[in-house]
Amino acid sequence: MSDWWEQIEHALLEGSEDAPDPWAEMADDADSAGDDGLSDDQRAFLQQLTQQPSLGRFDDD
Amino acid sequence: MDALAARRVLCHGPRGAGRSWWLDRAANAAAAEGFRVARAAGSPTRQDLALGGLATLLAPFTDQLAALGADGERLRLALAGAGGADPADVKLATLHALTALADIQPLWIGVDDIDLLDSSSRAVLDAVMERCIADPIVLCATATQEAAFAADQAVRLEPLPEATLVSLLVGRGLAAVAAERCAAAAGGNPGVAVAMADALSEAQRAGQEPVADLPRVGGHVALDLQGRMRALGEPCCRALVVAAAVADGALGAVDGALTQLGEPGLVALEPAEEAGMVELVGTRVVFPDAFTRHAAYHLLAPASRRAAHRALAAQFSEPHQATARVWHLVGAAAGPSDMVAEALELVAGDALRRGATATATRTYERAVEFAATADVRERALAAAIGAALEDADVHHAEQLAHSTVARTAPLQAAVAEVRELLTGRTDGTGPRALVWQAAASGEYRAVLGAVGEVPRHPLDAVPAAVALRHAGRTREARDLLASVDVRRAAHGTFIACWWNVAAADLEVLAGREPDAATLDVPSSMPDWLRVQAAAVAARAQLMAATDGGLADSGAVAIWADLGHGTLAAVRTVVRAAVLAGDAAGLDAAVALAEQHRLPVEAGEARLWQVALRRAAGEAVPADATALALATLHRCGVRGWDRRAAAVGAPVGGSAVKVADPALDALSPSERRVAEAVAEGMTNREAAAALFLSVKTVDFHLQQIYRKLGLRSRTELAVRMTGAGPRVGNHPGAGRGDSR
Repeated sequence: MSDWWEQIEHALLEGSEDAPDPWAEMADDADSAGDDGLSDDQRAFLQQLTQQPSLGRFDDD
Repeated sequence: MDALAARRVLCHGPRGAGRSWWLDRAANAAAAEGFRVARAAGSPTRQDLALGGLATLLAPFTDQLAALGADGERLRLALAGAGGADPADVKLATLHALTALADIQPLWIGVDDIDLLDSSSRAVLDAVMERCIADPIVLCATATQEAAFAADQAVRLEPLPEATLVSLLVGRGLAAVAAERCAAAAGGNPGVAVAMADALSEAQRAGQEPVADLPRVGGHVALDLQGRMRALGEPCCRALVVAAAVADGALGAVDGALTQLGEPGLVALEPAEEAGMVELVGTRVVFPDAFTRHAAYHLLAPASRRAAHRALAAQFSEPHQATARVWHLVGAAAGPSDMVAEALELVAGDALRRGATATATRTYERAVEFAATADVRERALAAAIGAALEDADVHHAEQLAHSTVARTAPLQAAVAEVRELLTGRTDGTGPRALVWQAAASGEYRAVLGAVGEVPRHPLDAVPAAVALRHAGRTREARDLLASVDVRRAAHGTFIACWWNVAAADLEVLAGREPDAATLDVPSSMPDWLRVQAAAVAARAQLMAATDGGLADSGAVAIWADLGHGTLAAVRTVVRAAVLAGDAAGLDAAVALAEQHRLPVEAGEARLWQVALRRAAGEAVPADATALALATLHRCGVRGWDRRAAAVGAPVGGSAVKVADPALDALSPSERRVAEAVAEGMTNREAAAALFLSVKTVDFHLQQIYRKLGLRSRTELAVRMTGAGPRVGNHPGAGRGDSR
């Protein structure tokens, strides 16, 4: 019983496999490449984020 | 509920066992008994918001706070987030505010998930409950672990076996057939079982009508809820998925994404709103609870969920929305990607800089899930461990450290750091090796040099506090130690053991008895920490000067081994016995002094024995004084002659004071109150000086009068000083006890 949330999560994930899939084509449209399912624009956004000078924890040290 | 019999009540048990239900019931019962009810709840997402829990708790009392004058204003400003509030001021103002409220109507405070309450609010509530023992204030809390809250009474909730649930429900008047139905569906949660039973019709409760199939708590409940959502129509379901995917439910983003997905827009949500599954509040769409939102999010297949996130990511294109955009791209990503993982690391780093350490840990963990290469994965995992340690959650860090075999240097270092904090053992290369070694050898200046007086890392607060204490700065040491509660997240680990020993040491220094259990250091811990714990225990024993403790030369040996010397230890024993007025203890002190070949101390102790016995009216051998003096003379000590001549008369205030055995019946708190009142303070002045509520002082005073058989503060002053009423010193003496 203590893992009831996990049970719910598991049941929902399992159930959603056979759920309606109206936008499936839009998830991986033509301008995406590779296995990550992201478009070039999106990838470029992430790329420029990670290339910015970082202020992360380890850089503070 | 008896307000004074159990002022702090805890309901603890695993998630889903029915703790919140219990708290709701307790709140209803309190309200029915005339309590004013105030509620707050801990939450992992609000844990970093200082005083957030207290602000929620006091929100209904804004008007009353305004009427409290300067205290109310200070508290209002602190709760409004004005920086610079002195924590002690906030505690005192809250104490005054709550006791003033309780004067009007008894107060019942309910805190759900108190272990997740922000630490500032928690410290204030702990202090207030510690100090208002005579006010009608009750604090009921829930937590997963019993150790999360020091309660007068604790209730353990476990998922209950079906047979027990059936008995529970039958006891509430349900027919057996209906009780069995509800019990089977409740999955061990008494709250759910009772709620289900309450929802039945009278005929069903009486067993006259069959009970339709009830969903078993767990997956079936969620799937049942989804069934009701699907009945609202496909467009509505699609809109629900998008709404559930937006963390703050911003309507603009939901509408934009729906349009991009070719859907009609927000209008599709109307059936869900009518069915009570969402609510439009201002510019946001709000789900009634996390469970409903979760069920809605999974209404469509994974690919469509990804498409929804993709459409949402496009709605957050402004530079200041980068974090939201990253999160939606994470939702849109179909598989591992170092790029996604690195973006998550950036988001986590931001959270860490804001001090949201728990959020940072979860975000780094998400980055671990997305990492495509081993290097990125290990880097993110090392950062997750670091964030968990910043959160002082050593156990979570341990779980993360054990989740992989460390291959790269950053992860190896992080794993070593966790191992150090768990066991206190270093291989000489971990980040804390130098600190540990310096602490073990008593080089506290080096400890402070390594971690600083205001350590950057919360777990370094422990060695820093220990070092400050050894520099004589006990108040700062106590504050520093209180600033991080490693006991909760690191229970049983080295750092938690050390915290306990350091806290007990400060208690002993303050003249209070430490909790003996906290000094029980497991054998798996380093020897030097065990020796330190033993030393603190020995000092506590010496200070307490109990009959058994004085006879324990083992305590002296440990103290002497620590460099204090046998002489100092035996002298402490003698002094403690004198202060305690303990003639039997002095017998043991004499024996100890002789055993350690310390004739001066033995002679001194003998003289005190004579003084105490005579003061107590006991018979003393005629040559006892002469014998003791002869010992001292042999050692060339002459200073005692004059005092010895006065033996039989009271020797100093303390001996007389403690020769009154009835005073031993007072608790330490009562003793402090008695001394303050005997000094001539009014109850209000004593309350302020001792940081107690006035009612608590009143309460203690009544107990003191009862135990000592007194009727007035004048009599108390006489009893405490043994020198008659100090009428000239305290203007209120003899005026009765109405102050």
